[in-house]
Amino acid sequence: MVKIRLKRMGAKKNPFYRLVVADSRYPRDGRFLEEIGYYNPTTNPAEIKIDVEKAKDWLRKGAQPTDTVRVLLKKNGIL
Amino acid sequence: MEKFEKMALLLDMYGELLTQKQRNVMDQYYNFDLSLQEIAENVGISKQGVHDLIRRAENLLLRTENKLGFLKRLLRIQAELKTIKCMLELYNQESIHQADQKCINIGQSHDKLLACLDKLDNLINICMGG
Repeated sequence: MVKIRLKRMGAKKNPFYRLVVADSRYPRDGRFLEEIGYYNPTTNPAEIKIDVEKAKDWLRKGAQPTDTVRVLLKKNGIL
Repeated sequence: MEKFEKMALLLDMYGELLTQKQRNVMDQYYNFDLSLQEIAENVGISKQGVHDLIRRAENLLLRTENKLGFLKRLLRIQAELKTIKCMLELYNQESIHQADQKCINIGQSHDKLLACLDKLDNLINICMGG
């Protein structure tokens, strides 16, 4: 199954996340199919950037967003 | 979402207090955004087991923060540092604009000041558990 999930980057105590499309068979080694945006909660307000076209495309193909990604997609009006 | 970020930060701060198993599961859950099912498969325990582990670890992190409050302090300090940086930036732009000699001198110290702030930021991070 293909999933859209957050991948944490950035230093300790400075969270920064990439939104990545990844195969759920390789859940932990960091391999992913495509990066479709990022999320930076350290700014106020939090900074979200999502490539709407790519996101919609992956969703159409049946990619499953995680709960957290779902929240972000909803905030951006993609879901 | 706020809980997600807060937990990730608490994990950075107090993660060492967890058992290795708890830390591993929490890392997969909060830093890799894996589902309970995926973690269960990775670790070789039931989904319910993963859920319980996470719950217990979260409670420990929250209780620790309630007692020590390091995260709250760190966030406050970071916010202040950010304000100082923003003001410095503004001042720098203004000084270039006005071409006032005094302002330019201060503007030249700008980079040094910024570097100092970054160092301070790092130091505080280290003081708060590295």
